[in-house]
Parts: sequence; structure tokens; C-alpha cells
Amino acid sequence: MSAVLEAPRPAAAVPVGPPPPPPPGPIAQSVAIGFRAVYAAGLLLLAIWLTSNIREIAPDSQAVVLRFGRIVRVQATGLLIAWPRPVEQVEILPGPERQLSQDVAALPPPTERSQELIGPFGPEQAIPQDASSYLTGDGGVVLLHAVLIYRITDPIAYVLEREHIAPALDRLFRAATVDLTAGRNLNDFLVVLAASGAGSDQNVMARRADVLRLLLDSVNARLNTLATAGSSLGIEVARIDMTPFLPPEAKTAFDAVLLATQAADRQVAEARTDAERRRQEANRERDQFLAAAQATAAERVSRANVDTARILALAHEETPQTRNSLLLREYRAEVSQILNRAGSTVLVDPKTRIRFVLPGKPK
Amino acid sequence: MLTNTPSDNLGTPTRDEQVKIMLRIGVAALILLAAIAAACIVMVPAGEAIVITRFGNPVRVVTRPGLAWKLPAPFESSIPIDLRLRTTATGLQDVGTREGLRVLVQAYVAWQVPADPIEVRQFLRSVRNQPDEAARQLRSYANAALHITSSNFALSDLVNIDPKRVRLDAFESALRDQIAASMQKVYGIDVRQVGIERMTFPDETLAATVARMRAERETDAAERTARGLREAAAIRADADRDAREVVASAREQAAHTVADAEQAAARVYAKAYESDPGLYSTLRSLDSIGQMIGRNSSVVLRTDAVPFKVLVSGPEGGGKAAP
Repeated sequence: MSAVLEAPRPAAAVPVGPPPPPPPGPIAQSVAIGFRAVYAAGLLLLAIWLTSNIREIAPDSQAVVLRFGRIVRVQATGLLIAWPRPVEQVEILPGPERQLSQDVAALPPPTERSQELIGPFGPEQAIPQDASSYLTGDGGVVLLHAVLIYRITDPIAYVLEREHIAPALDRLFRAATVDLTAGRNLNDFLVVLAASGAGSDQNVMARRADVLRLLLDSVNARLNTLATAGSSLGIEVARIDMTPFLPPEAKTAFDAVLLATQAADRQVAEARTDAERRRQEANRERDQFLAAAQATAAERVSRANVDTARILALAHEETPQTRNSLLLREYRAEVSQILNRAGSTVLVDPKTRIRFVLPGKPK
Repeated sequence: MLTNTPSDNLGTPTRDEQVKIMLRIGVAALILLAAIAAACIVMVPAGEAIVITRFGNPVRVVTRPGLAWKLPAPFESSIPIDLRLRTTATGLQDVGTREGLRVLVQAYVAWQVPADPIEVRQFLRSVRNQPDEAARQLRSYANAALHITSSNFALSDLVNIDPKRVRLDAFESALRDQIAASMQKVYGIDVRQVGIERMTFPDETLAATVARMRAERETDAAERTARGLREAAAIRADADRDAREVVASAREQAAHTVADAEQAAARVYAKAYESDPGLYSTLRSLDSIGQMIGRNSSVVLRTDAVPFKVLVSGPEGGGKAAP
């Protein structure tokens, strides 16, 4: 039917060559799209991989760049541009000014009895579990808990020895402490003897500071010895925070010393109070005595003056002519006063034995 | 038209097909090269050495960090050796000092395999590149050396109140001398440092030490208590003595004051007496009598006594008036 109805096409309109390929089917199109997505993802991953070692170094950090395992540079803070792995590897470290800290761990006890005596103790004791025991030169035992503050001085050495630094640092500190405590007495670490006066307090403080300084120097000397031998750990200890403790079994006796000291001080203080009170009482008694004596003396002189004032006055006024009359007048005045003061006066006539009773004023 | 038209001449690829073939060959060569490089390149990290073995026989040691070449397996293999510093503790050892006293000591040894091909090979052969095995054998050897070394030191060399007499550094040096040579010769290990990280007493001695500390403190407490009581008693005694002295002094001073007053009064009386002895005697006598006479006193007088004489006998001299 189509051959009959369709007119023949001109020869020029007929395409030359093979017929065009048929359009891809839906499956082929899906596969093509999938491959394109895979390519895109691959390109994205490639970009991520290429930029994986381009990173920002924080102000408190630094980076060590290793190229095929060889350390090639140390990068301070800022932008770090490095080849991706496995060409270059970037190790981020704390910066040279960052103060790192490490608690010195305690060694395990050899026996249970030893643990009861010198630890490490459990949380029931007010002693850190990391406190280790050391012998002192005076034959005592002191427990020391220490925190080491250190910083990185050689990042290349640090990045190499990083895994072994913590145990090595613990051991170096313990060795330095064993050496130091073996030549010191307990009082260099703990106040076990009462200081007598401000000068002694300063001596104790100076000795403590001296101990810490010697310990710090000793630890750093051991680090330097390793560095000189070509085994640097790349760190320097900047400070040691050390807290001393007593073995619990001995602590009660040490506390008793403190109690005894306080009791003795209280006794002395009370005695001083009593002494001051006694002195004050004595001073008060002295003042009373002196005041009474002065009053008595004044009274005595005044009384003498009173007693003699009239005599002196009369003696001053009298003349030989008036003396008898003055004397008689005074006599009468005195006699009348005496008789007036008496409760009664009895007059007896020596000749007739007659009595006259002159009663005084009624009471 | 050529680019879009597949070749209809078999065996003569077009230029585009040639480029594609070359590209495929290049990629394949690149992958092949990468595979060969992966098989032949060995990376030597910092802090490690690589021992190249040929059919198990170590032929060379690479200690310089970076990339190194080797024949691919199975011809050559690489064994990494850790060159970093390690520390190994001996464990707590009950050792005897020169005088036979027992002390528990634990030392540590800081060691590492030096970056020397001979030492690295020695380490590989002696402990099969097992650092833990090396540490175990080092620990065993150090323990024995610890016993030997401690027998040359007295306890006072290890613990002493005088820091100058403590010889722990000499102890550590001697211990290191004991260990270092053998470790290097046998294991290829370089001992960098030896230290005593723990020193204590056996349990019985330790208990006695703590008990002694406690006893010393108890004695100290008793002394402090007695000292306080003594000082308090002395303070009270001093204060009592001072108080009594003050009171006694006050009594003395008061007595002097009264005595002075008596003296002054006596002078007053004497002055009055000297002015007129008769008048003084009369008036002082009357004063004395006046002080004695009171409301309860009865005075008995003769009627011929003055002044009652006048009362009884009348005025003398014809009624002369008294002056």
C-alpha cells in the first residue's frame, strides 16, 4: 500500500552512506548519565585529595611536613600548603609556646603490705593515686604527686619520639626525684618541724624553692644528656608542680605534733593573758597603796596643822601681859566644850560628899 | 566526514583511532610503571631504618629517610627497624648493699638501635626485629647487673642526710657500664641512659621506717606539749614575781610617804611647841581630853575645881570679870 501511494523521491534527496545510528535507548542513556556522575565524583575526589594537605595551622600549633617519610620542613602558624598523601604527610604538633602538662604516674606496688604503707592509695585516702613514695636522706618516706609542665623545643625530635615521651618523661622525673630526695630530709618537702620566727619561715620557703629548682634542673639535665647522645625527646620541662604527702600510718602522729604545737601555743597564750592580768592587778594594787599613803600623809600633815593652828595663832598674838588671860580664856572655852560633850558630869564636894549630877543632852 | 565515518578499510586505522590507541597504551604503561614503582620503591620513614633482604639475606641497610629502591618481591623484601628511643624498666629488685642490707631498687634503661648498618643488622639477627623481646632480654640482663652493682655501694651511698655523700649518679654510671658494652655487642643496642627510678625498703623495713617516723613525731608532740607547759609556767611565775615586786615596792613607797608625812607633822607640832610650850601643853591636853570625852562619858569633878569652883564658891576677887 505504501509503495502504491507514495511518489518516488528524487535522487538528489536520498542520503548518501549508511543510515544514521538509531537513538540510544533509555538504558543506554541511564548508563551514560551514571558514568558522567562517576566521572564528576572522581574529579571531585581528585580535587579533595589534591587539597587535602592544604590546611590552616592554629596559633597554638605547628606542623612538621614529611615527604616520603623524610622530614623536610617545620611550618609555624599560618597557611600550610603541602602535597597530598602519600607524597607528603603533615603532623600537627602543639606550638613551641604551648605549655603541656603530664601527671607523673605511680608505679605499681610490689606487695599489698607495701601498698597499705606507701600506696598507691585508693580514692578513700586524701592522697592522689599518682603519688609515688621516695626515701629521704633522714630515713623517712615522703609521697610526692607531681605535674610536669613542659614545652616542645625540637619539633622534629618530638614528632619522632612522640609515642615514647610520656613514659620516658615519667622515668626521668622519678630518677631525678630519687636522687634528690635521697640527700634531703623530710623537712625539705613537708613542714614537720615548727619554724621559730619569721626568719625560719623564710628559710623553709627558700629550701622548698631550692628543692624544686634542683629537681627541675636535674630533669632537664637528663633530657640534655639524651639530646647530647643523639636521642633528644624534643622537649624541655618548664615547671614542676609538686605536692608532698605523708604515709597515712604516720600522718596521725604528724597531726598530733600539730595538735601538740597548737595546744602548747594555747597554753603559752593563756599564760601570757594570766600574766598580763596579774601585772595589771599588781599595778592597780600599787596605785591604791600609793594613793592611800599619799592621802594618809596629807591627812597627817593637815591634822598637825589643824592641831597646831590655834596654838600658833595664839602664840603669835599673845604678849606677856595678855598671855594668862588668853590662856584662861582658851581653857574655859575648851573645858566648856568638853563638859558639854560629856554624857554627864558628876560634881563631888570633897567636904560634904555631896554630889551634883549634871546630865548632858539627851541622845 | 572522516571523523564521523568509521573506517571501512580494515587494517588501516584512522588518525583518531591511532590517538586513542596511543592513549590507551600510555595509560597502560603508566599503570605498569606505577605497579613496578610500587613493587620497587620502599619508603624509609624518619626514625626507622629499612633492611633490604634478598631471598632472606640482608644485603643492605637504608637509614636515610626518603625513598629507596629495591628489586620487587620475591627477589628482595624490606624489613623496617625502629630506631627511636625506648625506655625499659628492670622491675623492682631486692638487692643487697655492701654491708648486706636489703634495698628494693628499680632502674630504667633508655636505649635505641643506632642508625648504623652493622648495629641494625645485629639487632635484626639477635632479636628478630622484636623490640619487646629486646626489652625482655635487656631487663633480664639489667637485673643481674643491678645486683652486682649494688654490692659495691653502701646504704649510706644511696640514702644520706648529706647530699654530698649520696652517690646515686656513680651507681647509675656503674650500672650503665655493666650493661652498655654487652648490649651493644650482643644486640646492637646503644644504651643512652640508666637511671634509678625507684628505691624503697622491703615490707618489714618499710613498716619499721613508718613506725619510727610515727614514734619520732609522738616524741616531738610530747616535747612540744611539755615545752608549752614549761613556758606557760615560766610566764606565770615571772608575772607573779613582777607583781609581788610591784606591790612590795608600792608598800615601801607608801611607808616612806607616810613616814615623811609623820615627819612633817612632827615638825609642825614641834614648831607649835617651840612657840609657847605652856600654851601648847595646855591646849593639846585639852584637845586630848576632848577627844576622849564623848556622849557615853561621865566626868567626875570636885566642886572646888575650875570652873565649878565659881559655881559653888562664887567669883574670886569680888566679882572681877574674866578677861
